[in-house]
Amino acid sequence: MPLVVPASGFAQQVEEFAKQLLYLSDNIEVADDHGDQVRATSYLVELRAAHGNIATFDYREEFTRTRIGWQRRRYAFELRFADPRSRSLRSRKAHHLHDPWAIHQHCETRANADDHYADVERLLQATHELFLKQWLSGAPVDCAGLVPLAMP
Amino acid sequence: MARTAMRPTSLEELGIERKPFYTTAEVARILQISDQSLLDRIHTPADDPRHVYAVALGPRTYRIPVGALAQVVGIRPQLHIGRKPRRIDEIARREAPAKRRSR
Repeated sequence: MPLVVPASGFAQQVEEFAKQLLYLSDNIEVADDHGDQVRATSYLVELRAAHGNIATFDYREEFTRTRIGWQRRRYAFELRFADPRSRSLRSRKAHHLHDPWAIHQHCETRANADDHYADVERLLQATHELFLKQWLSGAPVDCAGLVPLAMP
Repeated sequence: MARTAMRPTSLEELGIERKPFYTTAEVARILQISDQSLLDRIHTPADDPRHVYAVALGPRTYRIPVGALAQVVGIRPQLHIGRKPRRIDEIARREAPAKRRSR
């Protein structure tokens, strides 16, 4: 079921989530374009991670105005681990909703090339908590058991 | 923890080594409270002024991120919300090569 955020609480929700990111770092990037019919938000924070890597939490959402509020129509939630000097990607977990794949996820490591995998609809808060645990654990990204999607 | 009359602006100013996150033992030592007192503060509701934000790794295992520690020691965070969000299209475009590789 698509997520709907009441129009009156939208800005507050953006601010509340941004405050959570401020617990992680004092250098975060948050944006809300206050669009009229389509409204986009994004959050980005970079942190030091295990094995000398940089962890990037990159969250983007897009909403459409409806009678009952802002209905989410697309999202991209990503956690990327990269080399701090070259910025080359070491691994990535991502949950997306966008055309033409609809809801899907990505899992990429040195041993596992990128692909589109089956997923369920994700919420920003819950996804952030999963990514936080992945970052804090220092464990390598695990792509086992994911089901590849056929090209739409 | 060193005390200053003015509100501190950085952890370094307070003599605290900057790390991405801290164990509960480290934070308890910095705040000069017991481990149990810190756990109690972690478990207080988020709107309680005594609350300490922590990420649970297990039932009694927590990590306190650097930004959370900074707020507990009185460093006020600066929140700026811009008007130009990063776009999903940038990410979707990057997926084009992956799409061709797919079965």
